[in-house]
Amino acid sequence: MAGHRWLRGVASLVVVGVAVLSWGRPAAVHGQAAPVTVGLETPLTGDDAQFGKVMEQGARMAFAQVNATGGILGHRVDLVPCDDQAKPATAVACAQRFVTQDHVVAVLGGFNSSPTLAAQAVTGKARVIQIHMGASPKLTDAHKTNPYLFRIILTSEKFAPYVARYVVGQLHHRRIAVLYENTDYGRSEADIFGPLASRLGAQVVAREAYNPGDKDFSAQITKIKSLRPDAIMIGGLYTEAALIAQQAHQAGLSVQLFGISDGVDSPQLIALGGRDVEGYIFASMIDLDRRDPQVLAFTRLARTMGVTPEAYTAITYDAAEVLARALRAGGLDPDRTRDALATIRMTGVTGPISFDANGDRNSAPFIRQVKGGTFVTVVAPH
Amino acid sequence: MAVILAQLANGVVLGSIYALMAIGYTMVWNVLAFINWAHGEVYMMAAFVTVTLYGAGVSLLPAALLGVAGGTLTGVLMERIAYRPMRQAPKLNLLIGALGISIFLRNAAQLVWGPSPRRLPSPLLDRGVDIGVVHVSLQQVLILAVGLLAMVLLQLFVRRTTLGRAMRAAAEDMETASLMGINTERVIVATFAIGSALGGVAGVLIAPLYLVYPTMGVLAGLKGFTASVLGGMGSVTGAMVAGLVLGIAESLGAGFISSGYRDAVAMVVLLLVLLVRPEGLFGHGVVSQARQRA
Amino acid sequence: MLTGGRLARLGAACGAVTAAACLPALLRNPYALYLADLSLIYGLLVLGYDLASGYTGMISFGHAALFGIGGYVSAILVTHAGMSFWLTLPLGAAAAGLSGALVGLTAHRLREEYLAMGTLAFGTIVWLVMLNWVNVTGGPMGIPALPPPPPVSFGPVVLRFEGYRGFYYVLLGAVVLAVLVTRHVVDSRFGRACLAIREDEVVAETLGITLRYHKTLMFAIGAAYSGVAGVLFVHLLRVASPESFDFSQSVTILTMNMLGGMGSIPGALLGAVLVTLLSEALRAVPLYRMVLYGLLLVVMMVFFPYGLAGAARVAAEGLRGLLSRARGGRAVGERASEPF
Repeated sequence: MAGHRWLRGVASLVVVGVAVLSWGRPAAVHGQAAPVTVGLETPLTGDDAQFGKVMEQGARMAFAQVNATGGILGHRVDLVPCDDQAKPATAVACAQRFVTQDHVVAVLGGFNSSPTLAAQAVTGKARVIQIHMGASPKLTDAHKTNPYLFRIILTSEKFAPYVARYVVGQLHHRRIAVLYENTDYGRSEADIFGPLASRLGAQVVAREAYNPGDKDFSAQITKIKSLRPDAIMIGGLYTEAALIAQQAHQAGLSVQLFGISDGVDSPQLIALGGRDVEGYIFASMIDLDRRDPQVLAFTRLARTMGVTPEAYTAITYDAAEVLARALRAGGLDPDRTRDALATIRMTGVTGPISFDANGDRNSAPFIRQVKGGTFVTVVAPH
Repeated sequence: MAVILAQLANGVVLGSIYALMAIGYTMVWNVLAFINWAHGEVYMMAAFVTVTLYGAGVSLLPAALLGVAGGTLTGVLMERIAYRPMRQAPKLNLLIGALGISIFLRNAAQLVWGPSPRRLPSPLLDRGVDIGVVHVSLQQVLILAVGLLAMVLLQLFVRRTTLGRAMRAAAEDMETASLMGINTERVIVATFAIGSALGGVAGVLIAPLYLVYPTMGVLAGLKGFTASVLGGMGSVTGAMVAGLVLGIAESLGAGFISSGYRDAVAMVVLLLVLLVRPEGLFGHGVVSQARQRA
Repeated sequence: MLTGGRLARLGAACGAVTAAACLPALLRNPYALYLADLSLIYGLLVLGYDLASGYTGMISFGHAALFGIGGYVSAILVTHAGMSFWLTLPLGAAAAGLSGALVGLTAHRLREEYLAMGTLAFGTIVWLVMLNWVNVTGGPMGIPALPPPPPVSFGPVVLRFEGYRGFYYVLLGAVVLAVLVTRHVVDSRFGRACLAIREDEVVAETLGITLRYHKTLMFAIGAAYSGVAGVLFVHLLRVASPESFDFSQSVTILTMNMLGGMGSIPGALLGAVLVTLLSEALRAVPLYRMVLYGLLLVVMMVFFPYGLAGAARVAAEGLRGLLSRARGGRAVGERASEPF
């Protein structure tokens, strides 16, 4: 029993020790200009952790480059990641921490809309720039009260007309089933696509949902199959898309699969889906096989840093790059940086970057397809 | 009509997966009156060991067998390191402890293998049979077959072998069993080993269907747990049947009511059963506290 | 009867409340205030959970649903019916309390694991409704952009709710009220009957205690606390969304209770504060944080099965024994353990 008590004592010391130590900050190194901190709000644990990880990689790549070329106005850039767990309460804690503890000049992220919406209430009030990847239309509304909020991704709203024109107009699919993720992201894709398809003369024959994290779609597929579609729009991310493709083929449903945004733009789609995702069509902001100078530089950098790039690596990289440029132009002042961002024009890995009056990106996407086990561009933006 | 049959078939296939998971839970509960909330992580570890070995060049069958061994080891270690010191503690503590192990293993797995899902290919996935309108892959047939086989083998084991009978005795009354000369320690380890082996088998068999990723044990664990409660903790046959019932209810619900509320259907079924029969479909009708007095 | 011990405890409690009331003046940092607010919300939640589950023995795994019901009812009433935030407080509590009563009524016969499953099922169903009933709950996006409650004045003192300070005082008041109500309930005949049920249901029934009435009512009371916490939570965040009320939230509440020690008011509050702060402290290393969190749970359960309150009690008794022996007497005999 005495041994037990001793162990208890040690255990409690460890617990207390960990708690106390983790509140500490790394001490500043003397003799250097104080570094500039940028926060990264992203889901680093949980079901979306794979996206959080590539986002962090993209940001680190960009800032490594920035630091190697003199930093921002002579200051080194430090990236502080914070796990928002894809939940609003945690996102607010991250935002508060960024603003009051880490004194960030800007925040990159979040990835999910609901947490981003909660966090931007905090960053906006503190006049901290936030460049996010959330897809919800509600974030456009948020810009009206928070001019420091910018969206680096093209939303489904922007992508959808191009994909619809291709799939319905050019490929002549008339009976389309919609299978979407039951999140704001997936739901809004389904809501956007429906009217577009009808306007082009197609019919949405089915509208089924799946919950995020679901792995079995047999019930939805059986139902869809009975309605004889000639194409299925999948409003979701690549893991589920790959599984849906696999299970659809097994059920004997071999029709055109497509998505109206870049949630599937990752080599993981092919790794997980194999032959079943052959022919899958989607829209994307990037084509990493193009021989544009920005893309080449990016893929070269990724290679040297040992990173396998995917869409969100590039997107976050661009967000960091555009932020760095704006910070330089604005002299690290929040309002001047915000104005610099609002009027910026540069070409990134994801193509021409500029923000419209709503803080949203505006450009034409690539239409891509899986052919021969790799991504191929079928329609390039003009 | 064809659609109903198709959804039913989907349900049976899904259900056999839940059943395999449920049997593992029920086994451990039978002997120890304890729900191993980390059972899903046994499933996950087995799948990861298999996919890692396969990726390193080991061929599929030996990788799978080693995966099952890995899962079994995980379960046995759980018992040794965490559950044994807590055996005298209130049940709730064990539950929280199991939850802690589950959280630990899930995140440790993500540290080691990264968060991205991996694919475990299987030759049985490409070939299948057509039953009317429904196409069932051989993999799914295998899962159903293994589930039934496990059930039958378990019954034989428990009735005919010495260790099996020792388990039954310990399940009845642990103290008396040990007084009668049964090595209860050995029984407990064996129970965990067999239950975890079953969980490992489930993980390896299901991995080709649903991918391998660190949080894969959560849903499987939850559904398996639901099935074993539905069946009445303590009845292996009950777990099997309940698993199938759960799968069918989910498929029919998702197919005909709403796919978004799919999980709700299973939950509602469960609640209704619990209201009418608090001890589950096949459970023994025992007064709630009297049993724990022993 | 103000015995020496009781007077000391009352004094300590008053001291704690006074110190807590002065906290916002010391914590000018909004991040720290936010954490303080969150800690108080969880404190309220865990107090409620302790009553609902700890005192009845009905260990629930769906408590986040009751938290969410309070929050969503308030959010819906404020946005769709233009109701005042203050009015939604009792309404949210009532909604949660009624739901809790419903759960208690249907679940009181269930044994441990079946109860766990049943409450989990309840929690999942409520969460799915929040996620899917788009017209009412806003679906996955929830109900965002809730307006802050209008400022309220108590004479010269004005409470504003754009920041976190106003919420802090309301939350502190709610927690103090909750503690007082809890003490009253626990010390009452009703509370003692519930304790008897928890110890041994069979014996309690023979003593004429109706299981159904006591379990249901106690569960409902605990649920009402969670409803209040829910209303304050959604207004603090300015959004009511389903992710905040899922199974992992129920697990968090339960583990806070276990860590602090069931059946103890200071334990409940301590558990809530510690876990909230620890989670935040480890936020920079998310994966290691979760790994440590899991380990911590196991370590706590193995070494401190009665939580921190239990450990404190043991330590206090050990100290008392040491002191009396030092004074030359025999070790004081073991007192029958009180719940507090």
